[in-house]
Amino acid sequence: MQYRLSFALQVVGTFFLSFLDFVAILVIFHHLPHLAGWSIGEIAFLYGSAAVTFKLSDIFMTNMDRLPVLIRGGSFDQVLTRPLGTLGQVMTGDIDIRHVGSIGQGALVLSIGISRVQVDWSPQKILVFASMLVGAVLIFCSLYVATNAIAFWTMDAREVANSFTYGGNAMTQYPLHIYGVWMRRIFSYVIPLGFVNYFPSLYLLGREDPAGSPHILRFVSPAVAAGMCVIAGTIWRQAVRRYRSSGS
Amino acid sequence: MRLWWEVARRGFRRYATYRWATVAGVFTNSVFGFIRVYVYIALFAGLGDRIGMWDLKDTLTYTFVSQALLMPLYLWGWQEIAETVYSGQVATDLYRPFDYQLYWLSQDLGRATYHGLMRGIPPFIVGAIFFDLRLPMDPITWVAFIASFYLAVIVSFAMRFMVNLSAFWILNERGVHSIAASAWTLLSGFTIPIAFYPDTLRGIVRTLPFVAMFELPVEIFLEHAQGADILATLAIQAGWGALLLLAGRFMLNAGARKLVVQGG
Repeated sequence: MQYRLSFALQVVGTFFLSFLDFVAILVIFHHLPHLAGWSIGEIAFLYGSAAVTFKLSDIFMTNMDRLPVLIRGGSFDQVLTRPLGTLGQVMTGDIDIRHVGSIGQGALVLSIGISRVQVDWSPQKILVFASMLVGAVLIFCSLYVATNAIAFWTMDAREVANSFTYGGNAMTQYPLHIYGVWMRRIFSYVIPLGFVNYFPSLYLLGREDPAGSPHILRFVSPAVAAGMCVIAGTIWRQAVRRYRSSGS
Repeated sequence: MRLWWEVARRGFRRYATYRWATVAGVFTNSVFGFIRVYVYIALFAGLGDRIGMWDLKDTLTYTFVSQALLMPLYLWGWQEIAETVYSGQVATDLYRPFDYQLYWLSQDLGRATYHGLMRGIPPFIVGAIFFDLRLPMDPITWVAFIASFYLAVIVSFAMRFMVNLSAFWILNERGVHSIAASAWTLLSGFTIPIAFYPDTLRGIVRTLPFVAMFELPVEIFLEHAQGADILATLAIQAGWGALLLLAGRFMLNAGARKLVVQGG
């Protein structure tokens, strides 16, 4: 926070640059009123909820990018010697709050989405909405941890992690039913990105899933998120055990 | 000429060392191709018609061609020159008895050749296995596409060169780069085809140099440009490439002058 002007410029910059990302959706809706049955308001709702929660987890996980450097340089030794959890230390090593600009953009798109869809906000719906956002952050963070842990096995293959994190963000901007059958299955039952926003949104927006997924899936996002945290934690611990410091 | 050939070969071999990175990258490029493709399938299902010259098959082909071009065009995260500016290494590099810009260009063409072969062709093949893609039958299209590919790399290099040189004046080259990269992906036709934009916007964007990177090579691949139009498309790319390289040269001279002043 030493450089206030530079910080302010970056926040404003990321705020506006994030809108470039939304342009594709505007261009698509220039051609048709509904995409796979969903209006632009409903897509904005999905896009906004994905953007806010993904960018929030991105802030917590900024330092994951440096994990290969820590491992290769042997600096992970220091992390291990401290009497604190390894994951917590890597996460808090560097928190990049410049991304607040893009969170602001996501929040704006989300509120535009909310204002354009007709939802009567009963207490149950508010509860599902809040737990959806919390669950989404946890799912994205778990994916970050589980996939970046690959750096303990191989340094070079870490780009694979991007398919799950950035790919997950791209994928959750649109309703799950637009994807092919086997992709829907993977995103429902293997890499549970559908629970980030799609399934709870079906309930919130009062929509049916054209693919006919079980009704119960709309309400289990918090449980899925908790399960993901446990799995990610286990993978992380297994990965850390493989750490052998750097040579010589 | 032999020198540049050798530099290009080294650029190629330098990236060929990371085998697992290549496998991981192909996986990632393919996954993103799949995610993007279904949005267009939903778009055309609702539309039931073409957008301009583009039908669904064209658009699916575009998706995987643009995924294939992503690494060769290298829009993100190439800060090598900026790093030499910050470390001071650039001063010695500028003294070397060969052309500084041509050196980096040759290196980049070698890199792009590697990325085209190993990071470009495999995701396209993956896409072609799962989706009905258009493959040009006319050998002339392939020749033109290869020419268009290298011209696109030159345009991309010329822009990245200038963004890197901004390090002579600005301490936060990384910030400039991320802003530039966002603009590049949108205005080049990578995010969504420029052909899908509303008419006036499309007209404006097509007059900018960015379309030389994704939109124009894809138009050649899809054979939307034919006969004399192919030559015109390549000429536009070449024109932008030459102009931007020249602009980079002026920028380099200005930066080098500043460097001497600082060095005292």
